[in-house]
Amino acid sequence: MFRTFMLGALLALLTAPAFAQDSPYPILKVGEDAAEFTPRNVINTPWYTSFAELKGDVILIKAWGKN
Amino acid sequence: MRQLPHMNELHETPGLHVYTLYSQVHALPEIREIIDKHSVRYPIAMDSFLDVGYHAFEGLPRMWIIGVDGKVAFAGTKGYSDALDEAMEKVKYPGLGKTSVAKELTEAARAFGEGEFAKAYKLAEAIYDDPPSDEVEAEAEYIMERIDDRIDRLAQRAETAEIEKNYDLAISCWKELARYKGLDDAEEAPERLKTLQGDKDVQNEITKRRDLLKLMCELDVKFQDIDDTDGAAVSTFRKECLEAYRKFAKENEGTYAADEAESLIEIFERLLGPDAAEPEEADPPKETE
Repeated sequence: MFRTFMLGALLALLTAPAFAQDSPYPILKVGEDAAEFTPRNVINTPWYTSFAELKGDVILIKAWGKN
Repeated sequence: MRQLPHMNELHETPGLHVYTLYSQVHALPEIREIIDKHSVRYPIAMDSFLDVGYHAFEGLPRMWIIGVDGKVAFAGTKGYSDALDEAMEKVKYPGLGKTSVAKELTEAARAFGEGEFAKAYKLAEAIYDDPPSDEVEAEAEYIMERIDDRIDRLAQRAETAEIEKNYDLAISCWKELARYKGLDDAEEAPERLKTLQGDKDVQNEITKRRDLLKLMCELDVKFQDIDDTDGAAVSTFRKECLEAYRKFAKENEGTYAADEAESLIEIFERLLGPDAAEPEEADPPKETE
């Protein structure tokens, strides 16, 4: 059960993509700039509000779920 | 799941920032249980990351490593550990944003990397006041400005977050700023942090924000049972979301969480159009003569 919509199913009429190649979402590739986003909700809010502020350090971004 | 404690260790590594994306749909208490069980200390974004390319439709977990140049150095699952080691080799002075400095500034840069910012500033300032060359002077100025800029930015962000009642962010900024102890502009950070953490209204605001997130997660879970090709079912569900957020906003009026709920209400009202009209309250029964 992947999160495919914004919380509260805001975009509820879009069909959930089963595979990346069918995805209406962009795919972030190696060599591209880190994509920025501003989440509405963050648990353990960090002090930084963009990845650009951390330039010079390394960022490990991990998509995960409890299952 | 087995990797969660390991991620905590990585999160403590100087020069490495762990940022995670919750990519499944679950009720908030279920997610909280995992967070508490593993004492997760790193950030977990709950939304908005799919639109910019951080998705894992092929399977979880999935990792992206952003290198010192701000570019994606790795995307995938297998081999991320080696890629991380390789990326970390380029971090010489954590947080400084430079991989090398003039030999006269090595000690200042090292102090910066170890979080001894007052010492780093003092060392850089001494070189700046009596520089052996223009290049070294510029590098010393860079270190001082890096510290000044970070302090200014954190203080401004914390103040703004407090005004907006975004207390999670304010607390996080004051906490980070407290690491700059010994520098004038960061001196008030520990006290500001203590004040916020001990304020009942602040704690209430934080609780309300969590309540809103809980509601959003509940609606997301419910949406899993909706046939998203059925326009009528989706419309009915959207009305349910709208009503839930309206109720939340009304019950928590005056809080930051209520303002957030209002912004969600606006989105649902746009999506629903005329169907979004609030049900009129029934007129009181007329008195009979």
